Amino acid sequence: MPNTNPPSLPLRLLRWFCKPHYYPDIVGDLLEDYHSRMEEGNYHLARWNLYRDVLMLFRPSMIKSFKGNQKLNSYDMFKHNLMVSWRNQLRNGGYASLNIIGLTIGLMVSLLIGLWVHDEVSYNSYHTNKEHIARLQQVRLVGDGKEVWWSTMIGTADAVREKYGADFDKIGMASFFRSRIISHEDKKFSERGIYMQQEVFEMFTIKITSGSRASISQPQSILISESMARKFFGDENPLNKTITISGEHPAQVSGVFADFPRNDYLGEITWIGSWEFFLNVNPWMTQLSNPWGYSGFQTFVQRHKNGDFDVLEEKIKNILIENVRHDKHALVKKPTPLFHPMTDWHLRSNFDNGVKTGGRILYVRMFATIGIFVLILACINFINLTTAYAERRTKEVGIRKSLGSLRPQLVKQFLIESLLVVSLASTLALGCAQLALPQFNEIADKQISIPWSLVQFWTTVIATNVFIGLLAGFYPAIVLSAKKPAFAIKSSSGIKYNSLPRKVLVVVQFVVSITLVIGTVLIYQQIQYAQSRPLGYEQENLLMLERRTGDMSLDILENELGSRGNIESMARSDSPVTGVWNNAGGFDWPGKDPDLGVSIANYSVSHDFGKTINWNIKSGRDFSRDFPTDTAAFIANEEAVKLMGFSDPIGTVIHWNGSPMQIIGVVENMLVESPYHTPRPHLYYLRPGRGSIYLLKLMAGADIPQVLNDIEKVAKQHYPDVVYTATMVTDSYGQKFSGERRVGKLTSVFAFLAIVISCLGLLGLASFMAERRTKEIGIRKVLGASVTTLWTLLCRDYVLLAGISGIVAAPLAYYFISTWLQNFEYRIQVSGWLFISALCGAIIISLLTVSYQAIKAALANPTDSLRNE
Amino acid sequence: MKRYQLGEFEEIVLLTVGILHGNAYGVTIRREIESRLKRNVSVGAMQTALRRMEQKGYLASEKGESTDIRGGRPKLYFTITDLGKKAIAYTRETRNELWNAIPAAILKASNA
Repeated sequence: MPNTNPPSLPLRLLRWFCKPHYYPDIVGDLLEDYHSRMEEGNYHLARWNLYRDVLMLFRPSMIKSFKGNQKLNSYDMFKHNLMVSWRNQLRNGGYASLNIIGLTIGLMVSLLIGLWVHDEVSYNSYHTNKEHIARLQQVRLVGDGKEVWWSTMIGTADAVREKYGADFDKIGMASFFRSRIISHEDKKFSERGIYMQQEVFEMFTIKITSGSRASISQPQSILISESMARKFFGDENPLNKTITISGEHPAQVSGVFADFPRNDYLGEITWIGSWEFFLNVNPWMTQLSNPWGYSGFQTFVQRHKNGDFDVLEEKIKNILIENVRHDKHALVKKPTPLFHPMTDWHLRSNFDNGVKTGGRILYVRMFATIGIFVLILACINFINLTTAYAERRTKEVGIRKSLGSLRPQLVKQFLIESLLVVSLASTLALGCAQLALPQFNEIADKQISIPWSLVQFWTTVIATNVFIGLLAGFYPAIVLSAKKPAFAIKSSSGIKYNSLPRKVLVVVQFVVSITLVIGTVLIYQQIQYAQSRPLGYEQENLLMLERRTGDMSLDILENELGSRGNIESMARSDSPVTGVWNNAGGFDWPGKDPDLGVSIANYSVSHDFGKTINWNIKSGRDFSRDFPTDTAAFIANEEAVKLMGFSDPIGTVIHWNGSPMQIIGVVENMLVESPYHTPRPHLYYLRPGRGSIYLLKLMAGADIPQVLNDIEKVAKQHYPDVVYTATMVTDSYGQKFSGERRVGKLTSVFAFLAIVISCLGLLGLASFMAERRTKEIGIRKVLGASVTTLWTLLCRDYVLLAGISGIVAAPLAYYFISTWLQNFEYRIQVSGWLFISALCGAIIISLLTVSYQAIKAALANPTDSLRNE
Repeated sequence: MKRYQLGEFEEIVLLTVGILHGNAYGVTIRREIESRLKRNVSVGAMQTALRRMEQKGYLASEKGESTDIRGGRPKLYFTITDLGKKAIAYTRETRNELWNAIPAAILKASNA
């Protein structure tokens, strides 16, 4: 007897796919059919029919929907929670917008800072070997300290290769970056480039898009970037075209490389010349009698994969001293090698006394800290506002609880709400950041864009969202869900929250804002201080021409231009008045400590240099055409006199590389280098026909475009091939402050936004408190309280909080700012007044924010507030 | 006059429910159609037609008794609603109109 039970498989299948409310009667029909067939004895037919019928029932009208007919409770709850959250936002529009605006600003600031930090940290990450590349630098004794030079002697690379070649993958030399006028047919541009040996070329990641890599070792060959190729040749093939460098050296384009990213060591480079070409252009380099007497080149090394620069540094520490032992002047500096790894080039490039001390990393840390704090401010706002306004929702919580909601479900509800708000805010923040990016890039001098298509970016954004949503929503969720339903329903304001956490959070907010404000003000004060530092010469109406190619005679310029009446005097020198280009050793003076290694900044100048820049002669006299012997004379600055220890310097003879030079005058220290450094010793000597810098003192009120026009005409007429640039010295001097000014601008923007966030939070809290105390205020008014009394009542708490914050913020700000000021030798004294005024500022701002609400509440007619019960 | 959409198979099912008056549920409807029209009826097609007409309001359903043979599941009895009656009448009338419109000669013509 075969089994008469129906097969279970088709029935299970039917149960799985069939709409649940169709299932019972259909399966009943099927079973009835099956059994009647069985009774007829058609065992196989009955089974077969059952299978067939079930399969035929598998059609859209019978299949249950994907959402699930027995809809999952959590799905519905999720939908419900989302809807309730959304309605809540709409109902409390004012509060919700304060909340969202605060978060949006916070997220936007931290997003921008995040992008900036990422840009800074990812410097040089274009190079696949970045971990293994280092610049070989030299540490030299100077006075009683040590200084680090980026440049090395020309023999360094060969010496290291010869003796320790097995310890490195690659060793090679490169020039420093050079701006050269490059011309092709009628096109002429100033382009930055570098000459490098093949080994250096192989170290860096240089992506050749056309032409050959190997051509870097050929003389006459130059590789150019894609953008430069477009600039010069448009759509034409640039390969094998001839371009002219500095108007005299023809070179053949043998390759094109992909542009480097902007945040790269080679980021500004548009051409790479071969080392052989460099030697051809500068034949003196191969003719040097002592390759160890001149430092002017970079040496790069690439270590083995498992090498260690510290170990290598120790190993080769004597290489420089061994090679300079015959050179008395060089030996006195006791040069030792130092490896500066590529990963540190951008962020840790400051050395103090031969030890790496950081650099831009300070700013990266500073801004990262600001970003994190602004984000924390926004989160605190969110927490504060949510918990404050949550009182309105106690009834909701009570009813939910009485209907059987469990605490975890309520927690979930509030977390979903905070996630909703955070995602709204972050969407807005992304939009705002995109809009603010051009401005931001301009201030920060960057070309950052939001990496919309990058997966990591979105993962970070979403992860941050979830994190902030959970972090900010956690406290309100816990507080709200803990309410006892009976209390919650009975009265909306029956239970007192512990307001201490909220007060602590407000204090934290204000501490951060005040610290930022104090920091910003101090940065500006420091810049201001350095800007108003005495210059020692006159900057106004001083025009500077920098000759880039060829030569121009000062006499001819003077003859041609002097008669036109706009120019008071003209001079020539080999360094601009805004920087020192020449430092030299080899000085000997009476009473000099023989072990003292010095490097003194020196200027070759023409006769009228002093007159043109109007320097202050302290004693002695200026160079003069009346004394032909002045070609063997120095004018020293006060710092130089101090260094040499002369009480009466005039007439003293100094030997420079053996030749005697007499000091004929002493000038006041001039501010030439960084305005934040103490002055350095300078010596000026007379070489009227030398130098690529031409200084023109214009008459007061001279028509500058006219002057430039005249100069151009004269230059065209006499020196058609000469290329020069013209700048006002005031502009060039202003450049010195651009870095600090940038930092100042950025921090002031961030400080402002931090205050806005804090005030938004305060405003929300204050308006809420005022609203909650409407009845109290009404009764007080009826009993005779004046507006002033009520105002004091409502404001007191917040002013107190702001005061406490000021007291906490002062030492914090002092600590941060004094760390920053350590970077500057010439710096302000931090005054106590600043802290006091910041404290007052905080109190005033909080008072203003709260007062509006307080006065509004205090002025309200008590009948309105007391009528409704 | 209102239009009533009724497919061929739907019409058959609706008529059968009428024929079975009071005893129309899945099994009987299917057997009735199979025995009268000598054609195979798939449960899926039939159920789909029944449910659709129920949604349109031509049919009403009611849970009936359950038996052991049905594994304890109730029968679902279908009856024609007033709307269903109108629909079936409408269908019949439109057919008749069409029949009447055909010239008699054409229907006679073929002897083959």
